[in-house]
Amino acid sequence: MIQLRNIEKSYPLASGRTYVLRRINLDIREGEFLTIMGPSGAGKSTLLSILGMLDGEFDGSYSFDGVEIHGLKPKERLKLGRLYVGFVFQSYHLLDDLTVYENLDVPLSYRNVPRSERASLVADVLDRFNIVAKKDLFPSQLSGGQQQLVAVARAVIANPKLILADEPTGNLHTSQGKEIMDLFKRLNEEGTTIVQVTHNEAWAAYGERIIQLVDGWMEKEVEKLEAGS
Amino acid sequence: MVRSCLQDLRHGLRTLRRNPGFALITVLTLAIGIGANTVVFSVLDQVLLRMLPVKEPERLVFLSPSRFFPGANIGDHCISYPAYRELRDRNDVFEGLLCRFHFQAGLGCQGRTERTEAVLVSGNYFPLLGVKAALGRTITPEDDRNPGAHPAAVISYAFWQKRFGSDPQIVGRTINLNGRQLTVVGVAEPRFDGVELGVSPAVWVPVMMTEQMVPFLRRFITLEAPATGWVQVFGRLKPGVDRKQAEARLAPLYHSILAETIPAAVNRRDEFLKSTLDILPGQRGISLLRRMMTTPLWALMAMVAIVLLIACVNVAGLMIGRGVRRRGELALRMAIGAGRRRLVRQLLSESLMLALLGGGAGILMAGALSPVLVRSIPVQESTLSLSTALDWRVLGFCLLISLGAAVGAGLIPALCTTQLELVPALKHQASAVVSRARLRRVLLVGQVALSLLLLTGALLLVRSFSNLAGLDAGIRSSGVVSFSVDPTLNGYPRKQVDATYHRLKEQLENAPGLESVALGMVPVLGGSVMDSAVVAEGYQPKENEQSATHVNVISEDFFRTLGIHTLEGRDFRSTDSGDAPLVGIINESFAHHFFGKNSPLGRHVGLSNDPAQANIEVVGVVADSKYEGLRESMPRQLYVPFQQSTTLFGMTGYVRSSLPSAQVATIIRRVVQAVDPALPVSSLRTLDDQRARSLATERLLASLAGLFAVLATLLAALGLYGLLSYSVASRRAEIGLRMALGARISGVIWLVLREVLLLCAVGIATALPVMLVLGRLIESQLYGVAPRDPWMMGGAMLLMLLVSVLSGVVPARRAARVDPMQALREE
Repeated sequence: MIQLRNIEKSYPLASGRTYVLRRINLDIREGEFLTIMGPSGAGKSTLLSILGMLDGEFDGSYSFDGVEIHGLKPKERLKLGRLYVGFVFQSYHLLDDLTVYENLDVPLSYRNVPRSERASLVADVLDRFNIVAKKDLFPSQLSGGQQQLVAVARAVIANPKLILADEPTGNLHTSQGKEIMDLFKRLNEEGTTIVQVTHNEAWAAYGERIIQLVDGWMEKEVEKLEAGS
Repeated sequence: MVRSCLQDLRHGLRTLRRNPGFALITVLTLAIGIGANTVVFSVLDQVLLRMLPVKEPERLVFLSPSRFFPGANIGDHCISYPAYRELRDRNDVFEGLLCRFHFQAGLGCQGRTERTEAVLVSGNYFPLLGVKAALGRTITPEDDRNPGAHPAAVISYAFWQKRFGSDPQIVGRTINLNGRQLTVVGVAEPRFDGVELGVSPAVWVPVMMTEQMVPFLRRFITLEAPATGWVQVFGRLKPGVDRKQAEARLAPLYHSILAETIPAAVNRRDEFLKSTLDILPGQRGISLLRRMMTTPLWALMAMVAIVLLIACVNVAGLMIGRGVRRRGELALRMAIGAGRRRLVRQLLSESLMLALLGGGAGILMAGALSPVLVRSIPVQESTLSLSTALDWRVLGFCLLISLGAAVGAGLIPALCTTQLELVPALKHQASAVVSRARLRRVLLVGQVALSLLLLTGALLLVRSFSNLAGLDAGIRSSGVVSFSVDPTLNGYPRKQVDATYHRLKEQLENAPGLESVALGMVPVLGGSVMDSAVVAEGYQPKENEQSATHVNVISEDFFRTLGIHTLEGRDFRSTDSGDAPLVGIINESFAHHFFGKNSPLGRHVGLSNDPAQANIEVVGVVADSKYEGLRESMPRQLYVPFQQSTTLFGMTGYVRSSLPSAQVATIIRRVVQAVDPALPVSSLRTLDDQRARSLATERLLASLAGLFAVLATLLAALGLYGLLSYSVASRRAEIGLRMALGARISGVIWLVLREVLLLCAVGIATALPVMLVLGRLIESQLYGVAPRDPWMMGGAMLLMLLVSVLSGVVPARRAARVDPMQALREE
């Protein structure tokens, strides 16, 4: 589904350029669960941004389902990203002024989904994630785990092909983290491709494959670990 | 689309509810700008823009002699009745031509006489304007048949309500107008107020009744006088004919009409034959008020537009600041699928809500302030017809500028705020902040520049007003109470009018506590003028010299009462009667112009172009004094005693007394009542008040300009304060580090103040060239101060600088109190 070839990302500095990503070559299959690990500043989030089509300022080639992303204009790139990619962030990033229901409704309204269809999709997701009772609450009235649950629900509501999760359990207790990771696993089993960034070895093991980034370079790739449970 | 817009509005409202402080400041800021614009527009619309409430007003035109009607003129833009009649009957470009003549009338009804406004109109006046009667009928062409044979009157709806309590039986009743009985034939429709803005006539009378209605003007005004311009003419263009075509086709007709109607014996006949007619737009009627207020009102409109612009810039600055704080939220919205256009729309819907709330508050403000502004418009109180109600036009304007403000204040912040580097924004990194702060600085420079323009304009206008207010008018106005009476309006013959004035002066002089009493036909500093061509014995006028001189018809003791010094000769005496040789008193400027350094006493002058008519002996010379208003330079004046004047209308009485003015006013009313119970007193006020009224326009402009300048400066100061507070907050770590490295408190304060001074300096530099150009626009409103007066400009800059520094004091103190360790730990 995804092919990255010689991806490089750099910023100009007075003394030359500073590189965040160096010659990244990576293939991600449809339905795969990939984990990206590495120390702070290794370029994990940058790679995620490029994969999510939020960042188009890179060298190299990026192909998504046969579409050459690196050749697209920003507007087209963002549009494609909206269509195929869902995000889950470490700090949940729910919209504070909106209720749970509205947080789930917003991505659909941004995609011009008709109102009646939105209502049924939101109802379905609320049910699927078992948060019907929370639908009228604001994010501040939820626990961290519940907020991340809503964030994951929001990421999947538009039925994306790819979910990018940037340290989704970073702010959660272990038990809450496990619930979220189990949820990812389930989604993956249902066919969604997932790429997660994590520092946690146990959560990393949920992935079928782990890649390590160090100072922007892809250091090693570990295939098919036993999924933690 | 509609649903998602509503969703944006709902979310926006919720966001604002969560930020009540931001919402309140923004709404108030916009309310000031929108309210000020609404209140000024409500008056400007009525005076300058609104069409007459008549049928198809856009086809109405006003016919005006190109320069002036060459003969005698009673009123502005007038032609003779015979010329009107011939034009009406022989033109092929108008559906009809109507004429009118506005006059003051004494209206007696139910045993009460009051002064009011009346208009003589042609029979086609109402039909041509398409104005119907609310009750009875209007004046019709049937009332245009025979002079003196149509004693009919149509009264205005407002007068019917006020004076007759909306009596449905009014038609058929008689009223007494200037001593003549007229039958009320109808009441005009409610919204019709005539064709002259600022004049609300109570009565319309057929022009055939001219000699009966204005007998005191019989010498000038008759239906057959060919060389006296006294009727104003409106026409309705035929469909398909424009003003230029009408003007071209009317020119030969007008010329031949004048050739036929002006007799060969008329003085300066060739000038008549050379004169032409202009066809002017008539859809807004005519108005002295409009001529007087056009520049001041547009100047005020420009000022409030600047205030609104500053308010918008201020709000834009606040929104940019808020946008920076919301960049995480906006980036997130983008990350979950929102396009930039959608985000801009959402942010604009928030600013729209703020602007509409500001508009609502602005309307409330305008509703309260509109009556204050209307009261400040310098028109005669009895004829004021400006509404203080905010109608749909004003509300529409308010809505329009609210929408403009929403876009003006919201668009740039929305565009900037949504130009995001998504990844850093999601991680709350500050990379986006720098460019926004720069934009806020640019906006603030604009604010400072605009405020400075208003400040300079306000200082110039205040200085100009103070120059005028402190001017020596040559009159000792304190302790003088003035009032107006007009026995001619009661239809009295001349002898009775003279006797009334004599009795009035005598009885007032006998009243205890009154020091001196005088009468004068032209009220001093009242904006009225009576001019005449003048010849002087032994004086040879230069070629093309304008000999027009101000004339006043006065009683004895005029100079003593008004404190005008007699320099030579004597005052008028009771023996200067109609039978005695004609005498006159001149002022210094007159004496100097016509007689040079020689004594004018015993020399002769005349109210004519003909040297043979120099039949008035100069018996006195008085000091110069202002006549029409304070703005004029000291004019040449000739005074004649009222007993010897062939023309005599109403008089203004002047009473000097050390008693309180209210007490003097009571005495005046009592004495006038005793002299003639049917004689109404009007314009009773102190001469100081009259002097102040003559500066009403200047006062209005100066006070409002001052108010708007203060508002603008406060808004700019708020903007500066906001930016500096934000700047200090975002530089806490840097300031902490500097302090940790040994920076002194004064150095930290200077760090902040340097920024404000720099912004102010750039603002001043931006405004300076504009100040130099725009000064010319208000030049006509200035007196005794140049539009580029360096002191005023320097003062405004200094004031701006001071306000800017003051707005930086609190953020500077806040910066100085930063705890280095804590600030660095936060970082």
